[in-house]
Amino acid sequence: MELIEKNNEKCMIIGINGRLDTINYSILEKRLMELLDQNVTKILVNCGQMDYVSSSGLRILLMALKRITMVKGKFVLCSLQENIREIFEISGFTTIFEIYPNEEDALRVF
Amino acid sequence: MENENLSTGNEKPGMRLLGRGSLAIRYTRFFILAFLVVFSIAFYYTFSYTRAILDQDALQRASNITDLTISRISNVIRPVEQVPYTLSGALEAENPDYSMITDLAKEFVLDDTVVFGSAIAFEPYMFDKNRYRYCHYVFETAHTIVERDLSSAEYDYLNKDWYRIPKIKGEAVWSEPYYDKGGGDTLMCTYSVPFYHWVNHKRVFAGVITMDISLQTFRHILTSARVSQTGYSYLLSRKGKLITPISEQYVNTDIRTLLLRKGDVAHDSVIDKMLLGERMFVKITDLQHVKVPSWIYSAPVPHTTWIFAITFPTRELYAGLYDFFRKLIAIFFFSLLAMMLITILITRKFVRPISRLVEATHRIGQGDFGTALPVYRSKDEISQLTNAFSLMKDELAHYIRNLQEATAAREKMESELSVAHDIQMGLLPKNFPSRDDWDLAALLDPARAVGGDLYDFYFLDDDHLFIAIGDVSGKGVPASLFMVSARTQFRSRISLNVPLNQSVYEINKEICRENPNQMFVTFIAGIVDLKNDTLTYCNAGHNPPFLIRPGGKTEKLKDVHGIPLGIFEHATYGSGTVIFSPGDALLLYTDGVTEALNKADRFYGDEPMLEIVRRNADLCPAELIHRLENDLLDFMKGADQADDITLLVLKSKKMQGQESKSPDVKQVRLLNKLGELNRMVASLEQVSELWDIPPKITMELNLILEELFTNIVFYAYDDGRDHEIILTFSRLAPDSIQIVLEDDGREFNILEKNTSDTVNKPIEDRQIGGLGIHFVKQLVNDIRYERRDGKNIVLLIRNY
Repeated sequence: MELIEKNNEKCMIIGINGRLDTINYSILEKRLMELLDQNVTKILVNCGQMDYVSSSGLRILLMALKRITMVKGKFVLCSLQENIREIFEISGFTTIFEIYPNEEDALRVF
Repeated sequence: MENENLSTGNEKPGMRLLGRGSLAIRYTRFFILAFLVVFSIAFYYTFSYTRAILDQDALQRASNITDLTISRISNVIRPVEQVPYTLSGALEAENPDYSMITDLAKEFVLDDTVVFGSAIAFEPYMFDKNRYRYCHYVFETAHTIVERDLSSAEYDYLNKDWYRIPKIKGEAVWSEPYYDKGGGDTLMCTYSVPFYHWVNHKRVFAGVITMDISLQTFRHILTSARVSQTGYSYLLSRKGKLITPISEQYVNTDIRTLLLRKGDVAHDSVIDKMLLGERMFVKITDLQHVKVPSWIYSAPVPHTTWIFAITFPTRELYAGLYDFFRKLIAIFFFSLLAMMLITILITRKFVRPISRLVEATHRIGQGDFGTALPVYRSKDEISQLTNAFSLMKDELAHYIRNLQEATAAREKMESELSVAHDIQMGLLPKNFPSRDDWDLAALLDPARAVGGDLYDFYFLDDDHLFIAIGDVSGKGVPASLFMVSARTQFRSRISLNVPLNQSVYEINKEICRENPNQMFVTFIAGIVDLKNDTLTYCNAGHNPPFLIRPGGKTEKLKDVHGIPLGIFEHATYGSGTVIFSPGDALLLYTDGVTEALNKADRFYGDEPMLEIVRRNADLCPAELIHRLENDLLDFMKGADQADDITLLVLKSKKMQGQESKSPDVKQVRLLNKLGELNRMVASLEQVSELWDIPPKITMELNLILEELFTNIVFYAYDDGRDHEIILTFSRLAPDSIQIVLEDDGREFNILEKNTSDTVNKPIEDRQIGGLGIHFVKQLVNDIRYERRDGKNIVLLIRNY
């Protein structure tokens, strides 16, 4: 998995490239916590290139959402692949996360 | 347990008090023995002394009685001897008055109680010139005097002893006792006095005048001459014949014959002396009883040729003595018995404090230092002993306390080392997954609790296995720490994307940087391409490995690709390649094997190791290592293990033209490590491709398996060891797959975990966790759980 970061004037955009699984979720966790510590509270995660997510990956996304919500920030997902979207639905995460079909739509909410 | 010990401890000394070896018994035994000896000597002396006195006394009495009896006999005999002399004087006168002489004789016979008869016998023609024989005999019977003429030819007095012997001897003679048949008709002795006539102025023997005494006469004298109840006395003639009867049947019998008959053969000389007229006091056999010893006292009777003897059994003499001693011995034994009891009681009394001390000591011996020693008031040896024990107890308690502290400290140290050992061993992979194509086994036996050797193997991906062996300079904790550090380096740096020699270069650089103690490690690292049967390896100054061909031929891989790690930061390394043929094996080892020393300080060497390898080339790696280890242990028997022993064997199990397994089942064996996820995913993808499973389904299965697998890795084990997790894919139908996951970890029923709140609660209350299991349940068509043979078995079916 690779993280591709883009700094938009509105928010921080993180692209997840590849599989987000039990072995490498900690890379994402570490990065997100760093950003939160730097008071970056507006984050868009682009999942267009994310082929796979394990429950550990979901846990990290959930934790980030919780912490950013607490500080009145914004944590948004976009461009989920069909398979991934189904996982989100099964887990009920579609009701928790703000999910947009593409990056443009997502950027509008910031 | 404690009580039981105490009770036996109590019994033992108690039993000892009266047991065989107890002081009381031993002391008493000794005491009694000493008493017996002393008393026996005293008894014997007293007994002998008393007996001697008794003998002396008996001798005295016998002597007195003898003297008395002899004088009484003499008194009787003297007149008997006197008369014939008087009469012979009359007979020798000229023209003797025979009728007067006969009357005198007659009168004397009648008057004297002893004299039985009297004869006057003449030589032929001496009395009457016309008569050849003339013998006139008078004798007493029933107080009347009978006269008898004994001149007959049948009686023939001229040939009788009483006539012939005085005639020959020319003097008066006592005859031997004889029975006078045709004369007095009784047992008698005769005193014969010869008389002479003057014929032509010559003194010519004319005849004898005799006095017969009946031997009955002495009976009453002799009966009163007795020393004891059963004693008796008798008269003997010079020839040894009994003159007076002892009892009726023994008259006129020879004493020697009698003694012989009673079994006495040793006293002939004594009897001879006795008959010669010596006074004697001797112990010989009784004449009346067989082999009964008796005293005999003898003395000659003056004037006569007779011997007087008085005899009495010694038994009777000593009867009183014997009786007294019997009683004395009885009293002595009773006293001894009493003494014995008293001794035992007294000894017990003295020994009791010792027994109590023994009990207390027993308890102390069992570790109960709180035991109080018995209080003993007297100031004697036992109280000194008690004090000494008390002192010893305190010293002992103090010593044991110190010892316990020292032991505890050492145990702590050892337990820490043992934990370190477990950790080090835990780092080593143990189980090579069971595969059809390759097998691997390894052994590490540290010389101390922890060691500086290492080996390692793990899968870099499905087709690539990393293997390593190394030996850190030095031993013990520093070496083991260095070894762990080295292991961490290559675990993090070895990658399929970097050439092996490059990785080793990097690792060496890193180790050199963090090596203040200038330690180093000889090392072989290799990557096995399991599919293409090739080994790429780098030997950094380590012992050359051996390639073992099927059948046992061995090849040494001599190439060394660099110096040991940790010596020179800029050292460069090369690498080599080995191509495995089916059945080939690779043997890696450390110098702990080849340089193992036996008792005689000789090295084990390459050759014995290779010999075992050659003989067992066809065995599986685990068994081969087992044989090598046994041989090595045999060699080292009795010697200390000087260095860590490490062995690793990798073997290709492939055969020429081996076929793959049934296409509808695929099994993968995974270790309980997160890193194995890659292999799991790879195997799933392989199955998907093979069985045309849509990507979406594959992703979902991936999710499910990852959840289940990570769950097992995180929660099923807590022993820090390697375990095998078996994953089996089965194609049930063209659109249905079954997956079975087995692990031997802690029991965990995935279906019982409540997952509903994970989804339905508001975000703030949601538990992070349990989510994955929720996925699993949502994404399968069927799921079952079973606990069987200590294994968790999860079976799931997904249709597509």
